[in-house]
Amino acid sequence: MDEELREFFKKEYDAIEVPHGLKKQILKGKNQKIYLMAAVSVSAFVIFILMLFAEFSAQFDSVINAITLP
Amino acid sequence: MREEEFKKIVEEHYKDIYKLAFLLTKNRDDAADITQEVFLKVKEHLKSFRGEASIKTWLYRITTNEAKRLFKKRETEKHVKIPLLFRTNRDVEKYDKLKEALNKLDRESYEILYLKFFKNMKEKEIAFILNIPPGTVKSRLHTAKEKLKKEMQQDG
Repeated sequence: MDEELREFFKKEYDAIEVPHGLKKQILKGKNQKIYLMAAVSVSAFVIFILMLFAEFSAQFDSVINAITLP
Repeated sequence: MREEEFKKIVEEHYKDIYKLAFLLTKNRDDAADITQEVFLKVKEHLKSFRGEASIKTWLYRITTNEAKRLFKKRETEKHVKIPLLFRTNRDVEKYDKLKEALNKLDRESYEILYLKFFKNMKEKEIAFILNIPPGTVKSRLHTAKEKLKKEMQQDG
């Protein structure tokens, strides 16, 4: 029984074909995750800067209005 | 350094991991997904890997856990499905009988028989991979063989 099992598993194992490009996918997948994280971080930073600009421009407007109104 | 180490691990083990994943899931896409997930986890946790087990047994542990997670998600873990594409001409009857019997086994039994009889893993290693006490390995192995014998007797 033990020997039969060994033989069976060996045949099954040997018959399995590993898809072409799987290694590339594994290595690329890892990089893609890093790129995705970098893209999210950069986007968040850009949005933060834009929000700051919007905030400041609103403040400038009110300052300019305060000066010019009288 | 870590990048190179990771690349080396992938190169050495990705085929073996894919084959184990395929034998557990019987599906090419699932096996490929599991393999990718395994190596993503390896990459994430490589720094914290303390070497309490070999890389191979650690990879097997992640693979069986990922397969378990997939089965749980799909609720199909009751029976292992073995595809019929691996037919051979030699000892067809005997081989098919064994295949049919293994087909009726639960996944846990199949898993432990594979690790013991094909991978020649020690009980301690199997315990680590399956996350069970070493004493349970012996009893689970015995039960798996008994179940298999019973299935073969019923079939034949």
